[in-house]
Amino acid sequence: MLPRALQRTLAAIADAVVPPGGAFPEGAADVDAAGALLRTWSEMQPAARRSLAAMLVALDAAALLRTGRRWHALPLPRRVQLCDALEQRGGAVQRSAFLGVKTLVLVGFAADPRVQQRLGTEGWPPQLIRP
Amino acid sequence: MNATAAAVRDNPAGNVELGPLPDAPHSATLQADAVVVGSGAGGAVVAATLAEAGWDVLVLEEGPMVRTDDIRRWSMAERLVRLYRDSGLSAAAGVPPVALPMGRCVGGTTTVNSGTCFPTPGAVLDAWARSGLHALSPPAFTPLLREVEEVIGVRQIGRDIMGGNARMAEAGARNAGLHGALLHRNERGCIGSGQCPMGCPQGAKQDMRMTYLPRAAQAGARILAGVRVRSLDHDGGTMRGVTAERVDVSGATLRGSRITVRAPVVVLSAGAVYTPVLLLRAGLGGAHVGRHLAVHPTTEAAGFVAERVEGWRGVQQSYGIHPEPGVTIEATFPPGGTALRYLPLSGPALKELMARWAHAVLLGVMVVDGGNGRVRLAPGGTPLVTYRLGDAEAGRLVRGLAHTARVLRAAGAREVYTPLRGLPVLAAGDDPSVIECARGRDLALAAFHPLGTARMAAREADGPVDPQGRVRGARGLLVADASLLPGAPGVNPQVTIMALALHVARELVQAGAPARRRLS
Repeated sequence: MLPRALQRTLAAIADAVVPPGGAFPEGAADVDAAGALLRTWSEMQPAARRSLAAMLVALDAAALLRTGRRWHALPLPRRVQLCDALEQRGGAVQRSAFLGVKTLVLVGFAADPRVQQRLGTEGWPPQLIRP
Repeated sequence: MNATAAAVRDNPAGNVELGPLPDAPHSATLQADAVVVGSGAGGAVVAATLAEAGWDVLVLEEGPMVRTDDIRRWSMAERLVRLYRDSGLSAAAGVPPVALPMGRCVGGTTTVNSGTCFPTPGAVLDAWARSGLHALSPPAFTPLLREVEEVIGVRQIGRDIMGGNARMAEAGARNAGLHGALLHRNERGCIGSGQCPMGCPQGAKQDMRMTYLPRAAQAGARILAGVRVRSLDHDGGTMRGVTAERVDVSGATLRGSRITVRAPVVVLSAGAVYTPVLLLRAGLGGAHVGRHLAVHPTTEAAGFVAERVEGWRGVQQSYGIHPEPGVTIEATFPPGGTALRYLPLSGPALKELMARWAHAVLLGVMVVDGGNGRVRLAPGGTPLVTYRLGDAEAGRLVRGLAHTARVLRAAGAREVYTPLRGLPVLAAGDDPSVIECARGRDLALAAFHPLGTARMAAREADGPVDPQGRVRGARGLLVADASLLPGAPGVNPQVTIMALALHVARELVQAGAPARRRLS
């Protein structure tokens, strides 16, 4: 399993990418977007596990360098700022790591039926249709 | 190990689909006339062609077997983990890094691609023929392309399933004065689920599990999933077979597993990253192996329009626009949360856009590249992929992105969201030309077409594989996959790969009776 410290990092990033409230109530934590990813951990290939862990380590290092604190120790507004900073001003490695984790978080987030209702994608794709 | 897979006709679209496969042995010594490593666009075509010619064929696929019923049952995260190598996290190192997702399941990347089909452009074939590859000249190669297109059911997307994203791309191209058209895809019975890159839930996409693999199985080929080839076995360059091992869905080796395959002909169809890895491990093929990696780098942009688009309804990759040579814009609306990555924001600002998701239009840009990448062996024998984005490619990408922004604007989008570092949004009054000043290193890139790492060349000095697909300096070793392409075709390459594989397999059949029988 992903080390507990990195699980906390993942959850803190997920919560910042998609926080609760705003345009609609559900955030990544409400739908356990990080958990959806972690539940597939046992099936991930070793290289994928290493990649995910390395990305989270790189992102924690970026947080420490830029703020002096790790992700889970930062207040939500500061974490959102950090997300924007990494995506818009981050170096190649940090930016790439952030985009990789963000995509995985969004996959987990958008898989929840409540979120699908907010996006409008509920009920799609249609069930079995025989020509 | 006599059992072969059953080809059944029970999938939702009413298509033939490869049936359940027999379990691979934990440890065994197997024999075949030819062993094919990989079951994707190259391997499946070779397996069917050889088996139908009477050869005893064994196909070894590292990834798991997946059926349409599985795809319908699995969550998006499960599909990502089970259908893609490294859960889709594969990348080429460079500045910027390039995400390089690859299929890892029966059918290879054809199971998870967009289904977009182009014939090899005539100018590309002309260039290949001028280099001495006469079998790839338009008169010689076009019949193979047509044959493949017939088998995999290539046809233009119908307006009934094109979807809102394609309609907006079409309107944008027309208003911007650019040429565009609905794409062609390999499908029979598509209902526009929009899920292609996560496996077709309708069983309509005519990937290898629906076409060449059932043909191979019906002709007696044995197909084993969850078997990873570790090494090529040869005596001084004369092939004896391969050594492989059983792996589980995570790729972990089953304890003590060892499968030895004795076959005088080995066909490498493991893709442009893993075919060179096997050659490098074996020390075969020479100095060109792993070099000349081209990927067709891509980037993407999103716009929001006033009307409801509901881009997830309809074909996922649907409409092609050609603003300048070497640049293709494709309307692409990836399934589920993978599409949300087009939005370069986080926090409340991202949620504001999510709440307007039904109004989003998504376009991707793909450019031709010059083979600036390389596959090397990392410690432990795993691949290390590097890619250097050249000035020419970077120029095409930023110009392509500017064209994309113009198309989105012409479709009615006020703001355009870009993957450029430092320029997340082009506001209503901003001139899209500003994008052309961007540097390549500021892009977020992905690529879906790795190719060229064991390229076919007329002269030994130019490539490790000869015009018949044979690895130079190795007797009985062939390549039939994307590695073989002499250069980037500039279009989605699956039809080209399949036609090349057909050429290689036919040459092999023509060369004579299966070697094992001849020797025995």
